Amino acid sequence: MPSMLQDTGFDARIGVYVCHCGLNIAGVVDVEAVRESARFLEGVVVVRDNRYTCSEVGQKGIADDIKEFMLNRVVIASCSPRLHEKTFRTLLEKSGLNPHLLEMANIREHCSWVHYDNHEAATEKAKGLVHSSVARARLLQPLSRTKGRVVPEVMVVGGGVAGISASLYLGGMGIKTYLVEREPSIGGHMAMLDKTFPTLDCSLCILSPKMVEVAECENIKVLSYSEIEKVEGQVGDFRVQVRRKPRYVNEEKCVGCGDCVAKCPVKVKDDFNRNMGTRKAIYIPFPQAIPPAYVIDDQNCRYLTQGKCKICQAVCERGAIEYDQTSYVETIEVGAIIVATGFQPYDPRGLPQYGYGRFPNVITSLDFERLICADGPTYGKLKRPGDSQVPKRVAFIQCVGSRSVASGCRGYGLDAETGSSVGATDPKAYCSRVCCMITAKQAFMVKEKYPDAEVYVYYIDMRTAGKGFEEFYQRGRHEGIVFLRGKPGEIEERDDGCLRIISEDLDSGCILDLCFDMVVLAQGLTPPDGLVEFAQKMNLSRSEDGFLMEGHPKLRPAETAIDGIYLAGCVQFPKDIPDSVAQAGAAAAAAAVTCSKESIEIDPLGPVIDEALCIGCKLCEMLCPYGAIKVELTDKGPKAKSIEVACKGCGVCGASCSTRAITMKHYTDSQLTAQAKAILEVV
Amino acid sequence: MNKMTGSAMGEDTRGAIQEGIRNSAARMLESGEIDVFIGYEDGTLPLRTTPVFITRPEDAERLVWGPMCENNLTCYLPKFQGTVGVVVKGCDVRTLVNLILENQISRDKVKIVGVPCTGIIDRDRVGKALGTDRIINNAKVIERSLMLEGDGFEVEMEIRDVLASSCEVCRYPVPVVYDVLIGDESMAKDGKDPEAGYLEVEQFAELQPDARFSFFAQEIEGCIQCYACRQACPLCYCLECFADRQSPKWISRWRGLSDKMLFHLGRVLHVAGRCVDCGACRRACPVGIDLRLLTKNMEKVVKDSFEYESGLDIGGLPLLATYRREDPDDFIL
Repeated sequence: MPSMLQDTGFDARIGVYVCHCGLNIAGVVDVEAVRESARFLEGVVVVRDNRYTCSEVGQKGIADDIKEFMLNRVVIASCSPRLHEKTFRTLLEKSGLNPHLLEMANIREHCSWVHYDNHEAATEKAKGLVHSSVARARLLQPLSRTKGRVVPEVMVVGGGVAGISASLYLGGMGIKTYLVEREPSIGGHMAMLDKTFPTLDCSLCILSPKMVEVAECENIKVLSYSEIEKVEGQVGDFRVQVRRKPRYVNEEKCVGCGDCVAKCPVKVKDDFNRNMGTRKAIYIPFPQAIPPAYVIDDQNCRYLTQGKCKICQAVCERGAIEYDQTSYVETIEVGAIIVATGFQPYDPRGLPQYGYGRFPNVITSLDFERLICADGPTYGKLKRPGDSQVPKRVAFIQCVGSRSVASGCRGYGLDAETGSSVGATDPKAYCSRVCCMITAKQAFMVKEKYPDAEVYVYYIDMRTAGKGFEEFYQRGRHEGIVFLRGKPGEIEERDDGCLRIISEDLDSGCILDLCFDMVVLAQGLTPPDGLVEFAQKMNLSRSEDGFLMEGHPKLRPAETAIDGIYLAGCVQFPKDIPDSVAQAGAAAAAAAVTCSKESIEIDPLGPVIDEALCIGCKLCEMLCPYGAIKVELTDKGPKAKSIEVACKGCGVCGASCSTRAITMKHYTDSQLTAQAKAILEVV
Repeated sequence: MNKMTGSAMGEDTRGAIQEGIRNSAARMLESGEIDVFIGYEDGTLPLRTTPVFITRPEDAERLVWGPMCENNLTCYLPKFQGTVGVVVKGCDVRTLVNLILENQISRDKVKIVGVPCTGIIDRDRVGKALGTDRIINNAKVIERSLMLEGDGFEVEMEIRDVLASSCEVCRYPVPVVYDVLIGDESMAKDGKDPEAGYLEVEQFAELQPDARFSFFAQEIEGCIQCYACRQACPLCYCLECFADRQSPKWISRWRGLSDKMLFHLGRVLHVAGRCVDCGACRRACPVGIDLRLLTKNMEKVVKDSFEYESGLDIGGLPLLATYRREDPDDFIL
């Protein structure tokens, strides 16, 4: 086929295929009428309808027509190109046509599904869509793909159980992996838990072997106390700038002997223990920390804030203390990125009726984990914070910060009015999935340690969908835990520090007036702190709930809309440990697929710049979210230049170019105007 | 025929400014700071000046200053390779800021001689006040009035009564950026009512859609598609205008109403967030279409929606290159 003819479209030979998609389309749109309306359009040589165009029979029919009728353009009216564009492009390629000579008209999502109640109008619209696709198809041009390199290494962002698992899978496959963690140690929230449901395994007992494995795996490099500053590039070839914060302790030299801690004169609240205990200004978050090196808290260290002290340096026999460390940026090249930045527990100060922060004996579920943990501030003895007494009556309140549509709160991660990111104190509309089982576990642990204690759980619904979950919940009921349906409106604190809850028991209809020594709020899970800015850096979308959006809710749950960036764990949506680990495996497999390729084919959808028209105003450069277009000084003045491998074909440059010097290769002005004209002719 | 010359201004403030411009130009040319100085010299008709390009210090004597220095000289700047000195009024310097932001001029290649502006004369208004059949042979500016002489008449009128419409509502008569400022900032405030800036646009917006459309159609009907508005605009510098494109052909030259409307709406969109209301398009239009009604409305939309005023911040970004989460997007849905 002479390319001249393909270019100009003068001799376009178009095949039009209208799909029934079973009854998905044919149940609303008169497919035969649409087919016939296209028969005599300019350039159309064959029209057909298929029950399922994507089926093997449907595809073979098109391949045969390409040969028999010498087609050089194919129009398929079916579903969204997101689903089958790749299928049909491959078909064209196999049949000897350039894959970009395909045009799809979306008569399902854009037509039959949304106009199910008006068959006639839907049919007319489908005709318009098909005609406009034919008009564009006449002007389609063959495009050639370029190849980009693949760096066969992966970065995992977030060192909780999801990030750890993903790194271990990748390291095990022999793929060099960088595990970036914001805190001084990997471990995440799981390291703060005492036990895990429904098996009551000690959380650190099962997590720390994995952490040690990470430290020992020669393919994994842990970058702790580090944050992502900037991400550039594209699938196969990302350049990530990582800000390394200073530990002031040499990781290589420190052996974790603890001499420095014993002598450090500064005591501060211990954030790992939810501010309930104290730690020193030089510390290790928990004994099993990886890397097993101490860190100096530069906000509180006497030497770093006041210039005097240096006791830790004096006692450290190995000379590991380095006060002159500064933060620096390290640039790392990787082929794929897994985002596993976890969650942030809901802060119940957003619901002042429960008194968290005002009443010392109202605590959250994460506070409870630290209180009951043998390594916590009370060495595992459940002492209420107000007076260090062991509580005899404990209440749990479910759905604190979750399922809160009634309190007028959206699940959105953004405030619609100010556009600012909503803090962790705003209640969310969604169910946080794990709190029912966390409470079932914690109530059971109270009973286990203090069999005489009275334990009450206030709930809306108990959601125990999971392997062994319902059995565990029933076991708790048998142990004497009282489950009351009905969410309390408020908590009152009495003079003796006890907490009074008046609520309606929805099962009996009675009003209950009960007093407790301690109340545990089952806090929901919210998007992690700083996710808005992080998502912007990575160009990732967020869903309405504020968590990161997956590639497809069913079929691409561990992918994102950006090729080469994958998701694992709670950053996508709240989930329990086994689900986080499973998703980490999926993300690791997807990242490994990318790394296994020798090169990445880059879709030729980028801009073509007409230098004769370009005035070098830099608007495109200022707007391009991918740094894929730059204005350079030439002998004809400043002119824009496209950087093809970085381009994602979003079209911002083309749309913004005031002189229309930029044309998107696959969406030229001529193609789009032809399309618009054709659709207006039908309407 | 007597022209209005610099010497006619005597020792008033305008004369002092004129001297200041001449001295600055001569000094900068002598020292080699600049290769060329762009200013105004007397035109061949009364009430007219013409742009002049001075390369020798001794020619600086040709430079004049007065309320008829209407051209926005910054439109010549992108065409020069070397360093250029230029006389600017308050509005001109805002277009200069935009040209710098849009990478058309480098700040270090231009020496800005700013003059606090008292406003320029709208010759159409002078003509209307005088009667269009009377031909002016000689015009003089004396302090704040204009002396017009012709065959058998001698008329004096207040300059403030014949100011260009954009000058009446000017908010930034004093240049926001300059290397040299000549003249007294306080005098520039005289005779202006910036508060009235959007009055006309707001009144127009209150009309019924039908009335607005028929007014617009009536105004645009007269357009002869000469594109003088585009040529006069210092910010219309595309190498090929969308109106001249052949493929796709956005605008036909058969002078149908819809093509004319599309051109003017396209032009106003292309200067959105850039137009500084210098009034050049309005002055250039040979059929007297009130193009400022369109551009002023766009200026108001930009100001109300994005709190952005064009050409004020030399360290900022062009409006279209900025994005804030709180930017209104209700016009999309």
